Amino acid sequence: MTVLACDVTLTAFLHGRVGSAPDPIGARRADVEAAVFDPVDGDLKDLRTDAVEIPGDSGLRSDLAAAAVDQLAAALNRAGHPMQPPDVVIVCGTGSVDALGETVAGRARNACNGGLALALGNNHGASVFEAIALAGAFLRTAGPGAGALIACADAWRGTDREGPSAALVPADGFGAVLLAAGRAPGLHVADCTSRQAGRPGEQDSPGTWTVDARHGAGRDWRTLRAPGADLSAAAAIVALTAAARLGAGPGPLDLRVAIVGASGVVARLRASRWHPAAPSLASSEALA
Amino acid sequence: MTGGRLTGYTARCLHLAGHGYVLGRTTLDVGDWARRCGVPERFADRLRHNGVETLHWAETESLSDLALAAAEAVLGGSGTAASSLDIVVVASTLQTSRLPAARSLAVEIAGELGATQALCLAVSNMNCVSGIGALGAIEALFGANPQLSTALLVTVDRSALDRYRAIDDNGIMSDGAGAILVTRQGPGDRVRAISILCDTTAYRGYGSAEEMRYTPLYPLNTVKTIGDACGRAGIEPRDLAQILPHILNRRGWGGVLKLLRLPEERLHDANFARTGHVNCSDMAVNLSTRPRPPAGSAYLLYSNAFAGFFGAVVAEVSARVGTDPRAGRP
Repeated sequence: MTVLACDVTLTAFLHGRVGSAPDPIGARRADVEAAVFDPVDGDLKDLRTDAVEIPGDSGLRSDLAAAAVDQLAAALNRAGHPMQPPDVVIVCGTGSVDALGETVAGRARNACNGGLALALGNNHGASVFEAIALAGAFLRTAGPGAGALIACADAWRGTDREGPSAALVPADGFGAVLLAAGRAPGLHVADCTSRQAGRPGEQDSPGTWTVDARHGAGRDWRTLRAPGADLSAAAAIVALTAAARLGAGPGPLDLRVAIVGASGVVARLRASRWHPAAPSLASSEALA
Repeated sequence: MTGGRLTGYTARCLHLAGHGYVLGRTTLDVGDWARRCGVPERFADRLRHNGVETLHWAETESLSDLALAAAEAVLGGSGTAASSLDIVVVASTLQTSRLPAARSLAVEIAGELGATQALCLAVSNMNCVSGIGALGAIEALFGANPQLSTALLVTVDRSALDRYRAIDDNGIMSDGAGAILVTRQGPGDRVRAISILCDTTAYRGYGSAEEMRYTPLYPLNTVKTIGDACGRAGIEPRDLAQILPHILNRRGWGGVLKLLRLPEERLHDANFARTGHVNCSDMAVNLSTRPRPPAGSAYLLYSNAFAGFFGAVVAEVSARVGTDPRAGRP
């Protein structure tokens, strides 16, 4: 098992579902949910947009990744905190085998005028968590004030849609999460573990995620679980958004978020809410 | 005028400790390839005029076969136990060089090798710069995680359609795989800097004839990226003892060398005719076939790609060779 240091704060989250299963191909509209931590007061603002128009062919991962970035930028604008061009853009995806050769990472980077563009894949939903560790590693080099963006997009085709598991029919979807180096108002991620727990395709419910949350200094953990979340890689961002929404106010919140990738990799994040009103109380290290 | 943003790193903890490659078993003359694919002979002549003579075709070998052969050769040649690998990264150029979900080439290679503890990643979508992007990822992960010290970078590509192997008359894609053992401490050549430029103004649509065309943007961005990497390494381009290029467009490299004011003999150009362009694996092919420059001298690994990616790595020849398994099946 590999434990990867992260030391990044997740500050904004967005995920969208294109069309509706079982016939999402070619759909040009998506329902989008976003959640943004206020960088000043540390509170979470929930934003929801119905039926966003997806430009382009909308069947292409690159269109979806660009839409994820655009929609996240729009959500941040609505929240009154415009997105700064991130230093690093990492794209993840699961349903990528049928994508055209356009670089999804390049499109996402272009949509936000970001810096280094990289695509990370093969571990499916778990790739998003691994991308958080990789972004943290890059941001460590870039220094304080640096930011990263992770986007994911999945556009499945034909029998590929049946690929991961008979128990799961993945929908086309997209997502994005914004990261700041070190600690900032949001969910601070301390580290990520990644473990090969089984053979590819053998998981009963790839995309299944769990969030274990512990409020205050108590020992009781509350668990949220979503079996077989069907947005492919974006399922990881659904899980992170759920984690961000847990609890209210500045009290300490300790989180463990896990996701099962279709490749058999299970990734886990250790996180805590960092709030300017009580930053020391909310540190994961204080509670772990 | 070029655009885009450069991202670069002064590398602190990367050594290229071993390298090797395999090529597709079937060797075709470009004329044979043209006849097979119904391409006019005059197009084959244009390729020959740009230094291309042969290509290598993995007629019966799978992606996994190629990748595993290169990986095993490098681990065997360096005496490295697969169980000691902390990271296995697979990088590829082509969309068709990926396994359909839920399979994962990185996971499968790690499993076959017995690298049971390794973090398995794949870097793609930067096309032929994916290998350099993967080196950047390894550098970042090593930097942030002191417990990580050994990584295997596997590059692999296999063209799905023979007719589309040619990149205008710049070159022709061969099937093959490369592997580079990357360690924190060495032995091996120390990586001093990595620079990647993403200039999406170069992007004009995948697969279009226009995208294949070599425009002035390419040499200008090439020089810009090489200059950035050299600056981060604390040297001037003229200090580069050797250029290990992506194996494409020999004529174009002549122009780049002029812009860099470097003599032609600094370019390791033997593979333009012999191997063809092995996509991401050009790095491993060149490392394994070059004449070794004097210890302490700096050299360049370079690639650029469709969709506006340009990547440069400056490394320094070590006094002690890590491994040089020459694992080629040329």
